[in-house]
Amino acid sequence: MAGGLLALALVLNDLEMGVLILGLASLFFFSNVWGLPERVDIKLDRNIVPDETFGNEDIRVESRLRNLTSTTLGNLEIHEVTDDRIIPEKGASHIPESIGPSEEIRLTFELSSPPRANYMIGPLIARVRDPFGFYLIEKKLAPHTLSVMPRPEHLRGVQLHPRHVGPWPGVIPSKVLGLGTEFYSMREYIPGDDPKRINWKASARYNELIVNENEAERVTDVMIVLDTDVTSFGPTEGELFEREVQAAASFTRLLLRQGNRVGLVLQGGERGSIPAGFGKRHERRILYLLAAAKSGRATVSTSYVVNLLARRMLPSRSQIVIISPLVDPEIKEGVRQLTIAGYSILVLSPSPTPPLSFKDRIQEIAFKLVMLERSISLLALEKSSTVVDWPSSVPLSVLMSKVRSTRRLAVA
Amino acid sequence: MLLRINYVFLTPWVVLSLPPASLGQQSTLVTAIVAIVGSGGMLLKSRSAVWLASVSLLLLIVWGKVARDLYGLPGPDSALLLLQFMLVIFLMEASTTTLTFDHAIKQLEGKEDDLSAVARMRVTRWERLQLLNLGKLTIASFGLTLGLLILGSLISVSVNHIAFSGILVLAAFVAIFILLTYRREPEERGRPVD
Repeated sequence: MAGGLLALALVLNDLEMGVLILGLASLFFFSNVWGLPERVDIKLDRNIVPDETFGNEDIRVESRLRNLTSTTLGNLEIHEVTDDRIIPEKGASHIPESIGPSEEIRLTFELSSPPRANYMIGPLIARVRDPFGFYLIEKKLAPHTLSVMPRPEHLRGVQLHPRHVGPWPGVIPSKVLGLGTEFYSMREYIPGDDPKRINWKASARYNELIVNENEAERVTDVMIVLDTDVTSFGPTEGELFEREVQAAASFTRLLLRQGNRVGLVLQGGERGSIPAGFGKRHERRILYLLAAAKSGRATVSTSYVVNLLARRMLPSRSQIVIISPLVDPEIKEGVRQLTIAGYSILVLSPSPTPPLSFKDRIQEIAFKLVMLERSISLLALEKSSTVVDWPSSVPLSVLMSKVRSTRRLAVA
Repeated sequence: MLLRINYVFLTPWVVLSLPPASLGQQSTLVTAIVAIVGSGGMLLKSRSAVWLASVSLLLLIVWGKVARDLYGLPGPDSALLLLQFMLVIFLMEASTTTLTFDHAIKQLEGKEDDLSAVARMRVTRWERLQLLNLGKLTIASFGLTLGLLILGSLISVSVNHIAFSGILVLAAFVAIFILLTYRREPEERGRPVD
């Protein structure tokens, strides 16, 4: 503007126009000298409590900003950039402020836990300007992740019988003698045996001391495969997918707490994998990946991915848990090949709830066809693996406690 | 409150002080349009409308001066011209401050918790300080310019030579450039907000 005025003044040979230029220039000058200190030094910090949640608690984001300059910063804008789904219920994430010398201010906001996902909180941007906004100094603090993880359901009584077991004690029957709870055989008493193990009825019958022997229970390696392709189920996709994710989280927690090594494969629109491991930290890693899971159509066949990764990530004859809506018909062949290779397979298929109404007749027929294909897949899979058809009305914990054999469990 | 309706007073004062010939005898219409756009922007909290009205006023002030030169009309008082110019700039920034304040307060609307109360208090403190600083800087700039103007009117240059005028303009340009970029570069206006 000053340049334009100067040009006009020259063209019109009107030095009075210079008054306006001088006015503008002095405004710049005073803004520069008085409006903003020469050196602006601010320190940014952030705290999110909790930064990992199962979605049942409020989240507090506290951004701290300390003015290390010896003058007041009168025109300061603080903006904690957040996802659109993060809506502060208390406080605000973007406000103008003024901060005194060596003063510390806090931009705090609270929100109810958003839906399952990993959210970026930040970057925290602090912009210091002179009152007229001619000059700007900007500081940024890198973003932080808020992870809303799926809440694992408490499962018990899930019986897995893979042929591969590890050396450590666990809950998987190993078909060898050792410490365990299940009866395996009897033998003659040897001095040094625990008297509590004497089978008195058998001893009376054989007229010599007989002791019970138990089947050793060990840990195993498990890979959970979450098939996120739910795209053919129309209006029930969201609910179906969340059930799948929750089931994966529940299995992860149960199997890790039993001491097993557990891995995860996400297969669908978004892919990811975590090799088998154990411990609480590993559980967090898996739940973190599950928090980021999104539904979507797979570009690579589930059957191919599972076969490839199982052979690379798991010892042979280990356990594979496939959680899938069984949209991909090729999965039957994949499971058959894995069974032939010696893996024990458990297929958990959440059954979609039929929608109350369909948009049109075509959608209704499409839904019925998908359900029919799914039934065919379930029947085919029963021949080679343990199949669990999971209706939405039955809690997973109830359903899994009834799963005993390799046969499909019929739940009304 | 006065800030929210400043265009109702400012626009007639600026526009009606321009020679009617420079606006094609349509001073009233121009006044009405600028006042409506500015006041509407303040009411509807539209920054672009407020910005448009203020920039229009600035351009009208400059156009008034240019028109006087072109049509050979009697020039305005330099101090009045400067006062109008500085006041429009001040009120433009003050209006933006008010809109920013409204936006921040709107985020906290209906929230009765402690965190929101503290935030509300801080935003109010910011608005007061910001308006005070704007006022201080505008008055200082106006004072400095007026002082220089008076000083300039006391000194007369008798040399009327194109080379001398050129050197004078160049010196003025360098001085303005130094004033503008002293210590740091100005911010690029209208940069996108993340």
